[in-house]
Amino acid sequence: MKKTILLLLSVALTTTVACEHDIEIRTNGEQQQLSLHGYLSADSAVNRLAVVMTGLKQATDVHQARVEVCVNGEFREKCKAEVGEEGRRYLITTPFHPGDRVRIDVTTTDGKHHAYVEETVPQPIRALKDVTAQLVQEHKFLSEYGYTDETGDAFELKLTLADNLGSNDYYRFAAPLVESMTVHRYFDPEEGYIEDAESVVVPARFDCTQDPILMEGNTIKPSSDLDMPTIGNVINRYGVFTDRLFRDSEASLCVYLPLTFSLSHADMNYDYGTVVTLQSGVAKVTVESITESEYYYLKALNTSESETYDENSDLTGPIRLPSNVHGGTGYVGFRATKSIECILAK
Amino acid sequence: MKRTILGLLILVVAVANSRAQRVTVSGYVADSLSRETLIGATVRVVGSSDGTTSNSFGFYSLTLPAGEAVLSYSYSGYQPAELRLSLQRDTVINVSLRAKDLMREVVVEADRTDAGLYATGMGITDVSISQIEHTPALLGETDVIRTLQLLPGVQSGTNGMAGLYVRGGAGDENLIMLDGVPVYKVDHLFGFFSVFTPEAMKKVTFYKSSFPARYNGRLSSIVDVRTRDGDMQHYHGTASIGLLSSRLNFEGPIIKDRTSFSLSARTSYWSWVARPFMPEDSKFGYTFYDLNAKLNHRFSDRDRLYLSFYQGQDRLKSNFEDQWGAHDEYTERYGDNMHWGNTLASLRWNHIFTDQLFANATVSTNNYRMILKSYDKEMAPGGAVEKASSNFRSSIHDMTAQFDFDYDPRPQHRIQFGAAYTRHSFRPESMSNEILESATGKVQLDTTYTLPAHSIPADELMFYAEDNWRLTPTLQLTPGLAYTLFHVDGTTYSALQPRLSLRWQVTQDWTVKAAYSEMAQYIHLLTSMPIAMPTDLWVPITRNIKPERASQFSLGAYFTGLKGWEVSVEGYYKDLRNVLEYRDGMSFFGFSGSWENLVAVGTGRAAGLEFLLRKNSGRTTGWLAYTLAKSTRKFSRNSGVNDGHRFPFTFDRRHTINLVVNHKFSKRIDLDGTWMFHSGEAATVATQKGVVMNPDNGTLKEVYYVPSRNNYRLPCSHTLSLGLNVRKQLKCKAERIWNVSIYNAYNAMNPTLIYRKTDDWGGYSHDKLTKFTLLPCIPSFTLTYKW
Repeated sequence: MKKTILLLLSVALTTTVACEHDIEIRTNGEQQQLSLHGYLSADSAVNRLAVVMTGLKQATDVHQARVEVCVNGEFREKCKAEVGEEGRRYLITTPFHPGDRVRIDVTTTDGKHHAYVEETVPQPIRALKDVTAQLVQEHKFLSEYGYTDETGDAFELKLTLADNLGSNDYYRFAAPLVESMTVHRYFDPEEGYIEDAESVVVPARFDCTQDPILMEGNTIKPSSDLDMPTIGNVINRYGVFTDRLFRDSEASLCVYLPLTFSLSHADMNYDYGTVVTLQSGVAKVTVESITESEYYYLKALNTSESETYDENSDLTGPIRLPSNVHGGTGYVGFRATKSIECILAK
Repeated sequence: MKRTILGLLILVVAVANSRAQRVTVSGYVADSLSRETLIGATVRVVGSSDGTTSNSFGFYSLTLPAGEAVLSYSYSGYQPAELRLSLQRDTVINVSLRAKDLMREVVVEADRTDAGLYATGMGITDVSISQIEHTPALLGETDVIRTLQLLPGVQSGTNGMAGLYVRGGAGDENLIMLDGVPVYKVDHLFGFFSVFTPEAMKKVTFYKSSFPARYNGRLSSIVDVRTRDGDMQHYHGTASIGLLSSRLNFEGPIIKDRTSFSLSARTSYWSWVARPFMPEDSKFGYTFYDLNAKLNHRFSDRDRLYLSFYQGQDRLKSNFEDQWGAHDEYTERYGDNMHWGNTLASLRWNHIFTDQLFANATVSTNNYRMILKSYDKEMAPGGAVEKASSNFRSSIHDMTAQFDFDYDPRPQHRIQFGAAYTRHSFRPESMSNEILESATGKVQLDTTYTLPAHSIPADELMFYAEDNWRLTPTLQLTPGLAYTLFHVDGTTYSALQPRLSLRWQVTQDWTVKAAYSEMAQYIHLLTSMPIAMPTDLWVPITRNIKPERASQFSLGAYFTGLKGWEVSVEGYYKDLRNVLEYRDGMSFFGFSGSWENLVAVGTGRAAGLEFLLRKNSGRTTGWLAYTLAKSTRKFSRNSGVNDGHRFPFTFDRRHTINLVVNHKFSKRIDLDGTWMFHSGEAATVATQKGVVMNPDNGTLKEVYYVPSRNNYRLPCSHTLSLGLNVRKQLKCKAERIWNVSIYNAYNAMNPTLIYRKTDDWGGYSHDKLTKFTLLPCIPSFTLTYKW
């Protein structure tokens, strides 16, 4: 009996092993999609639209698409393409205003693909005021990758928002642009810091994990010395939020700008990825009014790019990004913005 | 006028006279040895179409014309009994039926009048405990849900799991009740096993189409599990030992023929077995247990009291230890301790007011909670210690009072009516963090955010009435109506839910049935995983999210012309309204604080045809079921769900074949087999490449692109499972049963999960997927002693 039990047990345990096999992806009948992308602002003289074709192996630029813009039902513009540093973009010079109904039609030259997007430009936020920036030392950051392993000095930036009245509103706290600044650049351990004064425009990384509005009630304490800040939560890197917690009234936002950050996107003569320490400067703080669908699009995009989500192998499956493009895919956002300047001084 | 008054008087006198000439026979139908009441036993008047069935407590009542009558009592697996009576006045007859010596054949519940072919309602199946015990099980764990998965119209969810997706419905649309109390968490081990211990169960009834008016609150199915009352005469029990768990059942009289008890327990011990094989610095542990207890006291023929208790819990523990530094002077210990489960208790009082009016009053409490504790302790030289811990909790607490009445005024009518009130208290999430730094002597304490900060109370009130009405000997009609009110967050929702079932006996061998059911659902399960997670959260509807509604139409034809065989075909169409889906990309969040903003409200429809060929008696029993089904969902263009395009629902499978065979070779040996085949289920797969634009700097990034939700069909799945039982009668009047089971006998590589293949450097393959098979061929054994 004992032998039988041991034999059965060992057989059972050794065979309870999961297996993996590869299978071919069946893509029969899969149609390529015309994919439109852009964030068009009512406050920009020129807006840029990317037109791409999805593909089984790679996405490709669409070179000679017909891009037409209509505002409030009237044809305004046939757009031209321009190839810049960021690739091919179709330039939209038609001005938009809050409340305008904008439609952009895109057709490939062979006429096989046609897609359009139609949205109403949202109203800008009622007011931004009382912006302050105060230096705090040894702030414990949730790092870019969601871990609480980063400590450093930071500007605590506070700002008061006045919500638009009588509507459900969706906003985005854009990464503050440091328009001019004095930095310390770490050059060499032996030579120490070299001070530079530059006039640049740098989008500053911000930590909003303690702000109840930007975290939609799910704040994360920087003191949490845990690898996973909270179950299922994803840090709001793109700063989208709603007026749910301050509808028709005012609210304060509080974010932290680290003094030390990478200049990988800065227009400076530093090497790619140079790390600098901000000494002082002027930041342009912008709150964008976005549409409801863009709010959900950016939340989904944020999740798909977060470190806590493993694309294509997560149990939840791959994230399908929402689209506002009819007859195609992609996302074209329409915004109205309001900005305020903030002095950053140690 | 004078004539009219005279006519009315004559009518009243005639009716009164007619009443005076009737007598009522009532009582309980029970097992002759254990006195265990038999639910759904058939009571018929021989030579007439009059008859009834015993209710959920074994009580029956039949009103007949006074005079001579022969009553026939029958129940599946029992020898029928006939009583010749001379009825002059209302009479109480408690009947005991003797179990057949069936060579322990598997009882297929097909001849019942409250379920199966002879019931007025459609899509009602009684699953016998013997059938559950004879369904080959994963790791030897016989499971009611896995048996239900073999019925037509039922999908299993993720391959190998004990999920339940009925007629195109979602996993949270099943009302699963233990002794009339809803169970929120019905599974163990992330969905592999259900919480129901077979030894504790008396009867399982599954409803998927004609929902009795007394059942409310879910859209797609009802699973009513009743536990054993306990033997009133003798002590006996069962003990089983298997690979994953052991089970013990013991029952008997406390006072003979007055008070009995039934006690069942199950516990797993996988952790103990696996512990020696774990590395020194990592310890995992997983256990679950179930405990069922029931007391049954008979005060008199008219009054009975039942006290039921269930507690089940899963525990998952992990502990790790890391050391680093030149001399390993830094130590970090961290881990999680998670436990979750249900506690249910109910007190029921049966009272027979008159021979025609039976009442049941129930008060019950239901508590589900999940607690996750995490800790991280870092110790540095010099005694510096940093401790961090977090505590996450989720719970639901229900208190219910319910009154049910069975009224049998005439043989043609069985009227059921009642009311129930439930006070729900949802606390979907609360969380606290605590930090302790002892190096500086400073203690920092964070117990802050609770989401929501307080529990969400909700009140649910339900009234119902239903009449099982025999219009003619061949035509039966069951009209029913339920009215429910749900108050939450300052908003009250109400729903009128009509139900109608019709049965027409066309010929002796042919029956046609039709049914219409309207259902409403007030709570939802927030889940983002394809497997059952303890972090799944039940939440009530809100002032912005309306109750889900479903209307289901069914039509079926049944043939019993071949003795011992039953053939049926049923078709259904289900229209779903206010159904919820996570918006695209939102499911990952999984928190409840603002859950209503993460979901969209839409519509759904499901349709299907179900064929069943069943053999009910003989040495070989079983069934072959084929289901052709389609289930889709559609949301508005601006909903953020699949851009407004209709899409296949999760676990939508076009073809399903289930074969169940139970064969008795001899009194000692029987063999059970099941074969399940599913055509590929719908899944979401990124099949193309597209781009996304960074909103801060406008740069494009190439990403995998998902054209549509559930855009891909997985390969088909098929699983053969076998079970062999070898019995031996021991000298000590006990019986020993060896069960050897093989799950997935021919090792089919069915897809449990699917994701894009990655190479050694983490890059994704553009043309290959990895199919992950969690459950290959798994043999198991169970040793059972019955005495």
